[in-house]
Amino acid sequence: MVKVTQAIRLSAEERYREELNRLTQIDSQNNKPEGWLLSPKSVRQFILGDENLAVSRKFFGDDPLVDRAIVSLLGKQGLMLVGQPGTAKSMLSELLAAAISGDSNLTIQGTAGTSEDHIRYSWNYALLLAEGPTERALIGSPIYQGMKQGKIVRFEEITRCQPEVQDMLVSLMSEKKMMIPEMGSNSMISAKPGFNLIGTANLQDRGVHEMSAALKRRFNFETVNPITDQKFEIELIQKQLTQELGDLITQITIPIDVIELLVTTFQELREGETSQGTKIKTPDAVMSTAEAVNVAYASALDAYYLGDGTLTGGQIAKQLIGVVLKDNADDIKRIQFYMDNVVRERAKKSDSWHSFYQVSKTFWK
Amino acid sequence: MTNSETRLPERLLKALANQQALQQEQIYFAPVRHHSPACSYAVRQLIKQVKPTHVLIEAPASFSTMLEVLYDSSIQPPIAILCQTKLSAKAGAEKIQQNNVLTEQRTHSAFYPFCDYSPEWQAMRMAKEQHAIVQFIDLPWSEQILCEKNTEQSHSLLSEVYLKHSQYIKQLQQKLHCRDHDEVWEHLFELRQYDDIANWQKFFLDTFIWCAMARLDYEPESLEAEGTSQREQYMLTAIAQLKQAQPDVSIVVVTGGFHTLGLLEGLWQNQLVFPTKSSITQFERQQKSAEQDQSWLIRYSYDRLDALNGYASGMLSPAFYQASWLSMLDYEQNPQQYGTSKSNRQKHVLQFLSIIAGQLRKRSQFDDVVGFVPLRSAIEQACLLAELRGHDGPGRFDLLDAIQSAFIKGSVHDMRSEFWQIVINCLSGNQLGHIPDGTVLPPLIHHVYTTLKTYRFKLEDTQPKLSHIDIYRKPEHRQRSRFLHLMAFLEIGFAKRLDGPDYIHGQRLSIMFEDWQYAWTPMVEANLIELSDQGTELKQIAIKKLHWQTEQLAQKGLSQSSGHAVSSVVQAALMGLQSYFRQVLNDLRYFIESDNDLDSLISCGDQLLYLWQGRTFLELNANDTLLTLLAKIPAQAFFLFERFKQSEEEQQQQNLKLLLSLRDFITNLPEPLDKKQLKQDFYQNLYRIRQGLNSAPLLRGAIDGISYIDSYLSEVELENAIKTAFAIGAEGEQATNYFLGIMQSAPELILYSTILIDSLDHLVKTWQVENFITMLPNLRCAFSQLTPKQNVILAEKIARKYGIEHEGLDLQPSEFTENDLKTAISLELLITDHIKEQHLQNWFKQ
Repeated sequence: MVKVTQAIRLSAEERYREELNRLTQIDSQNNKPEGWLLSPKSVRQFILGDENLAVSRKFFGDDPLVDRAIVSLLGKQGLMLVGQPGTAKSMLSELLAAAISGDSNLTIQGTAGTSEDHIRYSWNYALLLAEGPTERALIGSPIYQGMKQGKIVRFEEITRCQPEVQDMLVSLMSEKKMMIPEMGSNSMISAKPGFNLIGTANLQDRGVHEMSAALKRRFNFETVNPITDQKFEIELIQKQLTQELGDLITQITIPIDVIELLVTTFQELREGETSQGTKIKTPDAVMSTAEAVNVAYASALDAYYLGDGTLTGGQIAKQLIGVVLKDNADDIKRIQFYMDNVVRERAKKSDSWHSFYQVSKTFWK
Repeated sequence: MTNSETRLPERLLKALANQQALQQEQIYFAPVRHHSPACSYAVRQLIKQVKPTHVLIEAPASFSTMLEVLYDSSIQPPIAILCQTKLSAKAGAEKIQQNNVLTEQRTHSAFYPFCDYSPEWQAMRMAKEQHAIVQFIDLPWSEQILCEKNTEQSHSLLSEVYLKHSQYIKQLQQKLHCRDHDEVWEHLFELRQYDDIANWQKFFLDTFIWCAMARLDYEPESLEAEGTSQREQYMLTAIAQLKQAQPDVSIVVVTGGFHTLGLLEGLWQNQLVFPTKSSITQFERQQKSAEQDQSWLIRYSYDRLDALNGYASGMLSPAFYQASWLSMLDYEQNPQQYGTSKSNRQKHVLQFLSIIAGQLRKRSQFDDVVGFVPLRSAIEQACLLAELRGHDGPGRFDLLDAIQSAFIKGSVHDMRSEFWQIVINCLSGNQLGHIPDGTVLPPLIHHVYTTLKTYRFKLEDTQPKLSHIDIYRKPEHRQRSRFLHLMAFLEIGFAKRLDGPDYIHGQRLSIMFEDWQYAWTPMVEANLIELSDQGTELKQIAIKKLHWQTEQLAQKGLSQSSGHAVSSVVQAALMGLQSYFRQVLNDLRYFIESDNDLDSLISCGDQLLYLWQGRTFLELNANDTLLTLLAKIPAQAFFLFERFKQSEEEQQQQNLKLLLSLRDFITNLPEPLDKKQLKQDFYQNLYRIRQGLNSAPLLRGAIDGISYIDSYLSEVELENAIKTAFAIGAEGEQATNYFLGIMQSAPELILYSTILIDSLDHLVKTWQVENFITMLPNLRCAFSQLTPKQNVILAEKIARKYGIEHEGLDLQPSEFTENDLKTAISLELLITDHIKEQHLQNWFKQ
C-alpha cells in the first residue's frame, strides 16, 4: 500500500479534512438526515464554499445543480450525473460522498468488464472451501459495504458496463436489499439509512451502453455543463495552472491574452459559434475545461524547457492538435475551417493569434 | 437585517434616519418592486394601518386623466395604459434624419401594465376604499423621452434594468447561490412568512436596503443620462408641494425602490426641504406638457406580462404569482382558518405540478415522462429544496428545479424545447384582462377600423367573411387590396388571401380578381395594440418592418443577395408604399451589381419581370428604372457563368435549371430592351466557357440543345458536336449525361433530327450488357422528358429503322371513354361505403 503522504492524489475527505471537521463542529446542533454526517446545508457549504468559515469553493458554475443533487440524495431516488467528459462529474460525486458519509472510497469503477461480482459480492474461495458460505468468506462489493454501513456509494461510468450488469441495480435500488441465497434462503442484508447511489455517466461517447428505462426511473438526472462564462473559465484555468505548475510558475511568463486565446478557441469550438456570432463547425472531440488546463500545462512546460520561458500562442497551437485529433478524421476539416475563417482574421490584429496561426498552419495544411 | 444594518454605508444610514424623520412628518415610503405579490401585500398593510389622505404613485402625470376610468369596478387586470406622444424630429436627435423614411413627427409609445398583484394597482384600490386621493407623480411621458438618451426602444415604463446590471446584486447572487437577480429577489422577499411580509416597516426597510445598495453602483452622471434625476426632481417637487400647501396631510409614496434613496435624500436635510421657486416653475411647465400625451386603457394578457416572453416589465410567470397572491388575500381575510404560508405554497406547487403534468401527458412524446412516481418525487423535491434554501415553502425556482430533477431522465440538452415551453406556459398562463365596455381605443386601432369601414368591410362580428375584389377595373378596389396586403404583411391576422395574382411567386398573374377571407377578432385588436408602440399608421410601421428585415438579412450575411432584396421591393409595391418603393427600387441596383449568386440573381430578375407585367395595376410609374434593372441582370449573370464548370451531379442538375431559367428570363424580357443583342451575348458567353465543361457533360448537352433550337448553331455543327460526344470510345456516363442534357433542354430535338437517335444507337451497340444496365436509369430519365405521344412517334421511328411490325409496339396509352370513368368512380364510391360499413377505414389510413 502506498502511504497516504506519498499518494499522487488524496481522497476528498483526506484533502479537506480540516474543512470537514470545522463544518461538523458547527453543524452539531442542526438536524441531520438519518445516516448523514452533515446537515444538507453544511454539505452545500462544503461544496460551494463559505468565506466566513474558510471553506473553499470546490465546484463552479452551477449552484442550483448542487442543491438539486443534495436533495435528490435525501429521497429514495439515486443521483445520476451526466454530461460531457471533463466537466467535473466525478469530482462532484466524490465531494458529495465525502461530505455526506465521510467516505468517498466506496466506489465501483465501471468498465466493459464489470461483472455481477463487482456489484454484489464474491467469495474468498479458500475460506469458502474450508468453512462453507459464511460471512467471513464473503467479500462484499462497495454497494454491499455501503448498504451495511449506511453510506453513499459511487458508481463511475455506469454506461460503460454491459446492460445486463447495469440492470442488476434496478432491484437493488428499489428494494434497498441484497439477497445472499448462498447463505440460506432468508439470508440478506438491508440497507441502513444513509445509503444511496451516485452514478456518473456519459451519454454521448463511443462505446457506451444505453441505460434501460427501468434503471433511469430509479435515478434523478443532473446534467453537468461545461463552463460558458469566458472570464470565469480564464480565471479557473489560471488558478489550476498555478496549482499544477507549483514552484515553476515563478519562472514562466504566462501572458493573460494567451490564456484568453486558449479559452476563446475552446469555447468557440465547443459551441460552434464565434464570439461575433458566426457559425463554425464543431469537432467531435471533447473540448472541456479540464482539457484546456492540460493544454495550458503542457504548453507552459514546453515554454519553460524548450522555449524562452514565455508562453506563446504557437505553443498552444502545438498542443491543441493532441486534443482535437482523437478519432474522427473529419475533425481535421472542421479545424481547418476554423483556422481559415476565424483565426486568420484575428492573426492580423493580435500577436498571440498571429503566432497561434503561424504554427497552426504547419499542422493543419 | 438589524444585524447587518450596522455594516451599512454611511449614506444609507443617513437616508434611514431621514426616513424616520419623514415618517414623523406623516410621509411614508413604500419602496416596491413592480409586479411583486409580497410588495403588494405589504403596501396593503401599510395603507390599512396609516390611513393616508393621499397616495402618490410613480406613474407619469399624463395618466391623471385616466383616474376615473381606472376606478371602474368592472376592470379586471391584467390591463395596461398605453401612452403615446408625438415629438418633432428636432427633439429626437440625429438618428431620425439618417432614416430619412420617417417623417418629421414621430410617435413615442409606452406601456404601463397592471396585474392584480401590482403594488401600484393595490395602492389605488386601497386608496379608493379609504377615500384617499391618488396622484401620479412621475414626469409626464413626453418629458421623459426628452431626458432619455436612447429612445429607440421605450417599451415598458416598469422595466427594472438596474437589477440586472448592479454589481451588488451580482455579488449577492453568488453568495446566495442563486442563478439570477430574479431568484435572489424571490429568495429574499417573496418567500417570507405571510406575517413577516405584513410587517411592512421591516419589509420595506429590507427592500429599501436592497434597492439602495444596487443604486450605489450608479454614478450621478448616468442617473442624469437616463433621466432618473430629472424624474426624481419632479417627484420631489410633487411631494413637497403637496406638503407645503396642506401641512396636515398624511402621504404614502409608492415608487420603485430604486428611487427611494434619491427621494429620501432630496426631501429631508435636517428638515423638510420645500421646493425653490425655479423648480416650481419648471414643475408647472413640465406638468403642462402632459397635455400633449394621450393615454388609453387597453386589455393586457399574462403571456405578454411575462418577462420571459421578451417584454421587459417585471416578474416572470404571472399565473404562478397570481395564485400565491390570491392565497395571501385569503390569509389576510381570515388568518386563523387559512393555512400557513408554507402549507399554501406547497399547495400551489402541487397544483401547478399537476397542471404541468396534465399538459405534458397530452403530448404523446412526453407521455412516459410524468408517471405518478416522478410527479410525487417532484413534489418532494420541491419541498426539500425549499427547506435546504431556507424558504418558507417552495417558490417558482424550487418548482422548476424539481421538474428538472424528477421529470428529465437523461441529459437536459436532449429534452426538447417544447418541454420547457409547456412548463413555462403553464406558469405564465394566458388570462386576458377586461376593460369597461365603451372604452376609447388607441389611435392605431381606430385608424385601421375606420379605414376598413370606409372600404365597406363588415366588422360587426367575428365570423369569417369573403371579399371578391375587382383589382383591375375599379380603383377603389385596388386601394382595398393594398390595404389588405399591408395588414397581411404585418401579420395582424385580419385577412387571408385565397386567390389572385401572386407577384411574389409569379403565379396566376393574368387573374383579374382577388379573393380574401377576413374577420375582425380580438386577436386583431391585440396585434394592433402591440404594433401601437411603433407608430400610429400602418404604412409607417410596414416601412419599419421592411427595414428591419433588410437588417436581419445583413446579419445573416445575405446583404448582397438581390433575390432577397427584391422581395421587399415587391412587398412595397403590393402595399402601395409609393415613395418607399421608388427608393428601394433604386437601391436594388447595388444589390444586383454585387450579387455573386446566380440563383438569387435570376430569382431577382424573375420578380422584376412580374413587377413589369403588373406595372399598370400596381401603378408603379417607374418604367425606366425597371428597364435599367432588367438589363443589368443578364450582364451580371454572364459574369457568373464560371459556376457551370462544377462537376458534381447535383450541382450540374442545379446549374442546368439555372441555365434554362436564365434563357427563359431573357426570352421574356419586355420589348423596349434589345432582346436579340442580349440573346447573342448569352450564347457568346456560353461558348466562351463551353471548352471548360468537360467534366460537366449535362451542361454541355443542354447548351448544344438550346443553341440549336434558338438557331445559334447550325444543323451540321450540332451533328458534329453530337458525334464527338458519342464517338467510339466515349465514356458511357459522360455520353448519357450529355444526352440527358439535350433531352432536358430541348426534348423535341430527338423527334426532328435523326442524327441524335442514330448516334445514340451506335454508341449503345458498343456497350457490354453490364454497361448497358448501369446506364439504363439515366437513359430512362432522359426519355421521360417526352410526352406519351412523342414517345409513340419515337418508338415508331425506331421500329421502322429495325423493321419491326407495328403490332410489336403495344405500348400505346390505353384510351377510355367518359362512361368508363363514370363506372370507375361509382365503383370506387361503392367500395368506400362498404369499407365504412365494416368500420375498416383505419386499415386504409396511412
